[in-house]
Amino acid sequence: MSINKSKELFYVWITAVSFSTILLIVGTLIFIIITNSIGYFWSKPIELFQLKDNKKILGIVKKTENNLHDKEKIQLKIANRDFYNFDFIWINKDEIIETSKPQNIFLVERSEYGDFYGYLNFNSTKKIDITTQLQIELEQVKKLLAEKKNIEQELNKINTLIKKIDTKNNNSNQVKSEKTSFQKKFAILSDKQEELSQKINKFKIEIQEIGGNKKELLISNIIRFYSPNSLSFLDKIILYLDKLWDFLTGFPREANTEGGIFPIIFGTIVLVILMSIFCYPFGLATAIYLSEYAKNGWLIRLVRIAVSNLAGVPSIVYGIFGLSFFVYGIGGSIDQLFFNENLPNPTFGTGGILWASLTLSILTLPVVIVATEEALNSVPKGIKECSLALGATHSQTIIKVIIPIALPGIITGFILAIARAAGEVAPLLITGVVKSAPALPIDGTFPFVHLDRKFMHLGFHIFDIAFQSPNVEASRPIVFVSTLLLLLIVIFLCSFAIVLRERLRKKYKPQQI
Amino acid sequence: MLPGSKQIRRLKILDNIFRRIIITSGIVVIICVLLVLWSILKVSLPLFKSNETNKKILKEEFYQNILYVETDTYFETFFVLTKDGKVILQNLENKKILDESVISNEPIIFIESASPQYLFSRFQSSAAKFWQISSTRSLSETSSKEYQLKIKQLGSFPPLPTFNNQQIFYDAARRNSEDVFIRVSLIDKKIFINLQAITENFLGDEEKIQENLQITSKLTGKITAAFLTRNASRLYISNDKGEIEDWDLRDLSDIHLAFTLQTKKNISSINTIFGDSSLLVGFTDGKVETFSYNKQKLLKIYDFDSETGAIKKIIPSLRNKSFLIIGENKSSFLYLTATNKIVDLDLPKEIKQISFNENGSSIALLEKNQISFWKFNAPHPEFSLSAIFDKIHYENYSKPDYIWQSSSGHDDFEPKYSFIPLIIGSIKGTLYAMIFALPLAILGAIYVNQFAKHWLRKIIKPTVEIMATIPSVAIGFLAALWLSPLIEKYLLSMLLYLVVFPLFFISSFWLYIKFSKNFSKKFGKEFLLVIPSFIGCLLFVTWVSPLLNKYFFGNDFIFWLSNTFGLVYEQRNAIVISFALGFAIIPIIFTMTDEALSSFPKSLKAASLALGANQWQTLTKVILPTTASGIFAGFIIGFGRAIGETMIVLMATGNSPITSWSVFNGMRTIAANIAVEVPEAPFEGTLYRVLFLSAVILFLFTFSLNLIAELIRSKLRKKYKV
Repeated sequence: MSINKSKELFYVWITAVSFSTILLIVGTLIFIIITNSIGYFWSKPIELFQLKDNKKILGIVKKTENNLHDKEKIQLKIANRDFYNFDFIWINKDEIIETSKPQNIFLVERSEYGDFYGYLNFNSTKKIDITTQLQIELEQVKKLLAEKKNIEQELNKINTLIKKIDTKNNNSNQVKSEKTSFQKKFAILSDKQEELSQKINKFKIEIQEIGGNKKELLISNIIRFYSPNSLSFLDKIILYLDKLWDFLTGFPREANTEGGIFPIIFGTIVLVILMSIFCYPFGLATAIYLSEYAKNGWLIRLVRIAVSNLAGVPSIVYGIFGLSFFVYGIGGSIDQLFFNENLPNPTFGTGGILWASLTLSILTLPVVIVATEEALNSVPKGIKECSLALGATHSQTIIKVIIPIALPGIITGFILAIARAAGEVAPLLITGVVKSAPALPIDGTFPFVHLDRKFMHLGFHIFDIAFQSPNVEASRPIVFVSTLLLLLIVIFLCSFAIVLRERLRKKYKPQQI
Repeated sequence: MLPGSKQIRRLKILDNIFRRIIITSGIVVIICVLLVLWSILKVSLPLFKSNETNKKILKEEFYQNILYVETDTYFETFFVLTKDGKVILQNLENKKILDESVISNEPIIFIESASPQYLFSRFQSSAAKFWQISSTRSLSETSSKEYQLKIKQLGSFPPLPTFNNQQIFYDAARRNSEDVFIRVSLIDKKIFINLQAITENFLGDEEKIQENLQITSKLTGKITAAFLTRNASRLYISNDKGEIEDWDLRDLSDIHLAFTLQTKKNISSINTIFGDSSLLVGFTDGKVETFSYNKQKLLKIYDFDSETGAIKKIIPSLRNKSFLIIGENKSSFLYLTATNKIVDLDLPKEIKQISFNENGSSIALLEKNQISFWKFNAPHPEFSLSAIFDKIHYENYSKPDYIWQSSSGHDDFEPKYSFIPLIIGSIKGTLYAMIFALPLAILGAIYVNQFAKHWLRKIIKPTVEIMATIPSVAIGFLAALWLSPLIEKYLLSMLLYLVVFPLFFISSFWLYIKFSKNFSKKFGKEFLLVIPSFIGCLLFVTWVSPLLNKYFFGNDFIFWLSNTFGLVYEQRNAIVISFALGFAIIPIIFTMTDEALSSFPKSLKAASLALGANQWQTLTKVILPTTASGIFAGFIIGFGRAIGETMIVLMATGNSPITSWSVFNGMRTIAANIAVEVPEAPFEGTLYRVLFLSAVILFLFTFSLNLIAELIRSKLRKKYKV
């Protein structure tokens, strides 16, 4: 073999190695995220460990590792935070005498202190088994809770009405009588609420951990209960789907480390929609201006370069711009003009979903403008000239001929902008995203869309629970699941855009005209 | 059918309206977008404004028998203390008397005050009292402002023992951190110390304890200045030979001379900077030197050569580290470390008493028979260009250094705003990321573009594009919580792999050439062989490295590293950043390289191959030289991306602003610094504006990088335009 040839071969192989490394890294990334998140909702058996020192431990095996002396140790999730104060322990394998999977062990998901593993007892010994009875009582409690929630909403409404009267400072008799009637109503309703609470608190069950300690648990604190060791495969699948559904539609608990992520997804979607509303019309108009109306002088060339370069400016710079310009600048002025009575508490002069979405729209505007202009320019000149020659005005040509043809390209740009906005976190950090927002940005109270509210966001959620959560080990799976969800959203949007673009390319290949 | 003239007119009008809407909104959007830079620049510009505006409000009225004057925080009122023990609160604008009170019937002959509101008054008998005098502002029902004096007697001291109408050189009282009131009086070289404390006895009653101490200064010559620090922890006494005695009063049962400082010049005034950890010494030749404690020793940190003539008085502001010096000829307002004058003042010559108000924004000045008030407008005294780019010797540091530390739990903390650690952090992170990403991305793109099969190219291009949209928060999270513990655990295996794989690669290649007679000339499926060998090497390394670890490194490689080389290993370090940030910029460099290579005309490549050059020769001798500029543009854009990336760095480094280039510790970049600090920065404070300045630097840097890349690309495009 000649030296030249072997040299060539060698270098080609080096490039091949580089390429394979990239492939491997991408593969590993996706593999790690999927394997760490997919099993989160799968019910694993609770095992009972009999230790040498006569202690019994109940827990779910998380992982096995070698300790310093090369002996195997097992990490267990033992839950029952109210009994043990921590969720996880390590035990050495050689201390275990016996392991078993008792059928009568229950797993109870609670709204406080996390999960419970152990036995359930009812004080009154009735004939029917525990599962059925608990199920019945759970249903009853749920009904009562719903009733209570209705009353609470009513109370809130009355409260705001009373506050409104108070701020008006009107001392006429009519207003006074109105106020007293409201107060009477308030008193009646709050009595009713109290009654309901007492009723709810009567439903209790006794829980007993493996060491024998007992405690009473309010049934209203139970979210779900099952006996993981007696589930069949089909049961497990149903449970998996049920948990997944709850995760997507439920509200977070325990500092976001448990429960669902509905408000987080909702906040992300509202943010992206608002961003699109601000960004697309202006992006489209600017692109039309640049490609159809602007004279192609040095100034416009400069502007074009500047706009496309802005796409490469770090997102945190846009964030800090949003903070000074939108939040403190415009928001502060709005507060002084319209919400003077609330000052010094800011209404719009603090981060909120409006300012965050405006910041994101400024951030994505260059992307949209460049992509849309490219799409408009890719429309063959002949088509445009045909339209003009047939007597159509310039605006008619743009609206009826150029835009429809360029539409797939324009939409591609839009989708890529959404994908970028959905994954962007840095500018949100300083323009209004919070760990836990008390209310959704869109809800049933007037005026329905609350643009001044703070919001939750999927990307920030990942950042937050991965770094600021009190219990990192326990919140790890939920971070992986959230990451997978975010990746799926972004990858789905992006692939959709790519497919659309490929179709467009095929449709308007130059030789077909 | 032709449209009627009415319809044509309508169409024309519509066309016109549409045109106008598009043009105006287009221009408005472009202006708005371009205004981004201006609006962040606007926030940081006030930092550079010179601090001159000093309004002078003079009261020409005659006041007699006045000992002390002070203004309030809002610069609306002032109070005076007269010799006959009266305190009068007056409006600054219209001189109206707002409140009045008599604090003592005995005539006061001497007043000392080191901090606003706290007054020490001495009577003829050498007995003395210690007061807190302030004014409160409240809104009345008719929403007009109402002011009231608030007077509190803090301590009362008996006459000095053996007092016989000698001249008392220095006399002052303070409260220390244990609520003991301490009076220090200096007569000749004798120091009298009187302690007053209120304690609860076993019956629960309050009991007053007092104690007299006496010490003697060992200084020779004439005593020229003395100062008791505001927290009563130290007493400084100086003489005309330039010696300063430093008495340690922190432990009242063991008051001792800590040491004597030599300055060799005639000292005329002593005071301390806010926080009491640096000493200000004024000399008769007009120089001011500052000394700060480092390892229990006073170390000179700065000297100011003010042209004020002999220093008569130094008064620190109790808001920040700025201070006022009053010299023979003129006065200056200075800042401890900025080493530049904040503002020069033309204060009157004969000053009896001078005091800052509580937030250090104005001074009240007492002359022989008039009072004047001066207001400063120096919102950012700690900022100067040298403070962000030069080495600065901060209080309690052993040497000048680049330090970023913007906040602390203490009030008397001095913010340190050096950009150098942040810039080093940004460059460090980017550099290590580039070392990882650049070869992989460029060589990978060359492989896909030049040698790979067509079907592979079709799959890889969109895959890389999707890779580009992976949110950085996902990468950062994985890097921080999955990769960094993994690297810590398998650091040895990782380093070993970097040796084993190339060895394996080269040796297997050599064997292949040696023993294979005929190999196919076509390329495109090599990666299918590479991946298994990757995994094979990985398995080999994971098998070998525990053994190596056991026999050579005592089972703890990281400990061994720090023991033998002194390398400190942090879990979230530059290696993690190198992988994570590198991963984030691979797609962009890959795509740009691919684009550049694709722009090369196929006919030229075919010509080269037809002349007998092989594929690699064609690539290196024909394609690469001409497309190198495009690849370079990719490198620049990738660099810009990496330097501005926030979330990955925020999550996967320790965010400590250090100036070390070691791969085993972390960094803090400009971008991450903004994200960390801005939420806590007070609106329009110095930190807020400094952060905006760093954003401007980041903006300009990335913008110009992108501009260069754009120009290179457009040149390339023009070159090969068909």
